[in-house]
Amino acid sequence: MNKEILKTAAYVDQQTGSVDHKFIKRVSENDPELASEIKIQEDMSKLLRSSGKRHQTDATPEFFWSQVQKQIAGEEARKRNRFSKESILRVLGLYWAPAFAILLVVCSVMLLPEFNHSQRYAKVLDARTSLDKVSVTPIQSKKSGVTVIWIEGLDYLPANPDILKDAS
Amino acid sequence: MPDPSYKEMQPDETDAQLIAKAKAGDQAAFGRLVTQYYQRVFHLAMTIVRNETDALDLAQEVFVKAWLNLAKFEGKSAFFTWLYRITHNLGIDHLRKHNRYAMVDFDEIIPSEESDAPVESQLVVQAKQTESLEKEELRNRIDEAMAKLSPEHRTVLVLREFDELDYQEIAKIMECSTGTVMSRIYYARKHLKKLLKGVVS
Repeated sequence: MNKEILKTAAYVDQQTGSVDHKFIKRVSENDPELASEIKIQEDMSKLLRSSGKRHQTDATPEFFWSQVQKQIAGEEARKRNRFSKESILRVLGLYWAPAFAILLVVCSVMLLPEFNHSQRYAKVLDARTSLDKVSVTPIQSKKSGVTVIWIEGLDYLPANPDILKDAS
Repeated sequence: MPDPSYKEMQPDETDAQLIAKAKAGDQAAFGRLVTQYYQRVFHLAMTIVRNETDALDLAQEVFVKAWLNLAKFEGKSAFFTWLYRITHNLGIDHLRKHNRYAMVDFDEIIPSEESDAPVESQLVVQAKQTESLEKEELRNRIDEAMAKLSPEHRTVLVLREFDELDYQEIAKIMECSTGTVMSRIYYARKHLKKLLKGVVS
């Protein structure tokens, strides 16, 4: 498609720059195809301006405005409704967030000691006996301040107190 | 109950003054703008959707949307340009919703003489008859031909020939470049010429 031909619409509507306008005018004088395109554009423009149908509604301004007003009222009511729902959720959110945080803290305080239960006992790893067949496992309860010494492999009771001498 | 309070306002108030009042919540000022522009908006809506009931609904929707978004109108363009943009967008949405929208490409093809034959055969009238066509009949013929154009072509022609907008304003309304506007106007007139062959000499 010739670029100048496409510009004939703008030429007819005087929407080209002055350079383009002069150029198209000059070329069209010796170019029948371009001149014909310009004629089509001019004719259709004139025809529409003189005989084109301007659609009009029968609705009176008062009626039209009243309909628009009704729709505006409906939209604004919907908007308010939506806003109030959002507000409720926002307020609930504001109250629930601290409540949840408090609950979390309470749970932590209550449950953490349970989680740390095992840490209240210290196993003494270095304990040993002079007899290979006798094993000893001393366990100290920090909570109650008691140390339990678990001995296995004794042939008889009471145990030889010397066995425990090496326990640290 | 209709609110006729817009009638009590000063008739010489400019769009800018009415818009400022409307932005401040004065619905009556907005009512003045509505009554001032509703026929133009209706015409553009009708151009796009080609159905009176739909066009009326669409025109009302345009003003409702304009009211709800009035704060966004910065006054950089004319108020009716803004209204036209809303009309164009809603109109195209409407056509899409009803599967009646076919976008026009920049490099569209003008239908050949042969492919136009059925359409033209309906419209071809002898030159003698053309002369005797009543103006109203001619209007109707032109309107029928317009209806056969794509929504984009109809819109661009209406904005140019009826509203006498320049290419830049049309480009703003249709959210495209001025080059696209130029191309659409060119092809729209060419299509129209083909569709009206025989009706007008």
